[in-house]
Amino acid sequence: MSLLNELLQSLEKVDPPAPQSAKGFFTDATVCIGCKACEVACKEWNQLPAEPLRWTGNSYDNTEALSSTTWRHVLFVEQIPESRLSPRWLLLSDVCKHCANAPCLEVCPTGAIIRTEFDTVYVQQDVCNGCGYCVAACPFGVIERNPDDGGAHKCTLCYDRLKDGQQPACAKVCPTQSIQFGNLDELRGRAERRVADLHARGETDAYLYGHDERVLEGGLHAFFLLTDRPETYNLPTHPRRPVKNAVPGYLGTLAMAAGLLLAGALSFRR
Amino acid sequence: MAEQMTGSGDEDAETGPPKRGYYGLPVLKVPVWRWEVWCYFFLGGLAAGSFVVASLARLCGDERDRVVSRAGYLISFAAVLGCPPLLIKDLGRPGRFLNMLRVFKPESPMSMGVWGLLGFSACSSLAAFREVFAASRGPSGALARLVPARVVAVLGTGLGVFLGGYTGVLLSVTSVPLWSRSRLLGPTFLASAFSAGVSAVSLALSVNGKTPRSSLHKLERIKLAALVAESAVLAGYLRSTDRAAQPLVVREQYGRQFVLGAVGLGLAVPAIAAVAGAAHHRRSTALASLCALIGGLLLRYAIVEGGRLSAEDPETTFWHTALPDGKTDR
Repeated sequence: MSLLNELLQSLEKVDPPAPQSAKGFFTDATVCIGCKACEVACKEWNQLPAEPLRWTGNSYDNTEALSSTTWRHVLFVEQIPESRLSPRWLLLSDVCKHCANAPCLEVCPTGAIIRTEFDTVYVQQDVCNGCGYCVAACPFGVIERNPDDGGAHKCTLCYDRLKDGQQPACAKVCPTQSIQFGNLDELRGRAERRVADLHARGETDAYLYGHDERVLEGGLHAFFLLTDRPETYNLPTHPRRPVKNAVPGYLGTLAMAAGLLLAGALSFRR
Repeated sequence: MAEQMTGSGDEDAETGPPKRGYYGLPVLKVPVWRWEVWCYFFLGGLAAGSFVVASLARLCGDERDRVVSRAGYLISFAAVLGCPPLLIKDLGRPGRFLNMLRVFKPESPMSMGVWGLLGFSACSSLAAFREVFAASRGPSGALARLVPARVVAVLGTGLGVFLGGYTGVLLSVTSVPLWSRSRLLGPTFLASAFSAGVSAVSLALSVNGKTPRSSLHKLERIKLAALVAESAVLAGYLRSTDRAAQPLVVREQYGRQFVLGAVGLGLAVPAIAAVAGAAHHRRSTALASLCALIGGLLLRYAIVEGGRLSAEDPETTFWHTALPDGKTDR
């Protein structure tokens, strides 16, 4: 009897934690100095293994991209014109965008990827079975399946630290406040004021990427202040929402089915 | 010292067209799906197609078409047996495959696919069980005759249509340009599943000398209809995929497998054979059916593997995600 109770207990639904105010990142590329402290702090706090060192030749970037074991990645863009006059360095700490309409979460067939009480996107490692759908769905190339444990991994927005009232490790360690953590509405206001300030000071290229619903129809909870086109930072200008293809795809399939079944039925009847 | 010109650099027109992107690194992660997935897509489609043909023969055909439904149900059962092992093998954590059944999630085509496959396998197994044991004496025969053949045929046809097409919808619900630019991959895969199913049944029956000629003729007609529909929707898919379809046409990528294999061997050869009246020659029918089957497998091979190249190419991703009017959305 106790065994039966134990089995039934695992089927009971547990109430989710009470919703908190939505949290996010505002990453300001104009004050990033490329120190990579965010990369290191993230690895340390989340106990992520180091990748074997590879000299890429791509400026100071030997990390190249976000991966299952790299959840912050600093980009180094050198813009040196032929004349070698007024060269420009663009630096940016990239991270999971914690999309309001997260494609990885939407396609996950096990319910492993969830939205937390902080409105962030989180992979439950004890549920993920490594099907790989999220990897193909993410429009930013963030989430990756790890070959060692077979599960999908990405930035958790330091869910464990948030639960204890702490800020994420990368934001805590950033020496220039390029990475700012906080309540989403507060961050958005701060970011807009920062853009206005930069415009007033002559940096008219500054703009925000992902702070409103233009990106993925709901915006990104980790958004960025950039000074060049999104593509320069390997970000897609206007990513599409994968789920938008589902209903038209099923309808087309249904129409095809109707035609084929009719042709088949007629062929046998004659 | 090498001059690194990354970023837009719009002000430096003399250095040629502005280079987009970041050191040519991919924007997307390369999909992890390999041979297990295209093999499953093919087997699932084959199982669905042969079940639907068998059910059509059962529901609309005459007494002589019973060989068609018998062959179709048996092929369907054999094909569907191969599906779960491939789907489990494909997982990063195969021991947790049952986690697929902890949610029912309509917005995830993979979740719906798992439930659809589950329901379809039940129908396919029941139909095959009835075919094999209905004529035998004893308890197994009595049990097999209890299976409501028409209900199973109708239910399985509905689920089979879903199983044949959802794999294409699944691929189109991603960010990979080759898969998601067009919304026609679902109907493409369904038409291909149908032609594969008819071809498998026709192959099995044409090597058997006792098959009535009338049934073979009916199968040839359905096969031709499926091949025409598949060609039309595949052309629409390629057209709407536009330049993202590159991995399917460039010879060094998957051009040979797609153009020669999927289109030439899988569509053109069997269609010409059907028009030329191959149904009068059992050997030609068998050969044309075999070509259609190989073509159906190569279609899924080229599209699934081509998706990896598509995801690796940042220029295609930027083209796919550009604003319609070329604005920069600042």
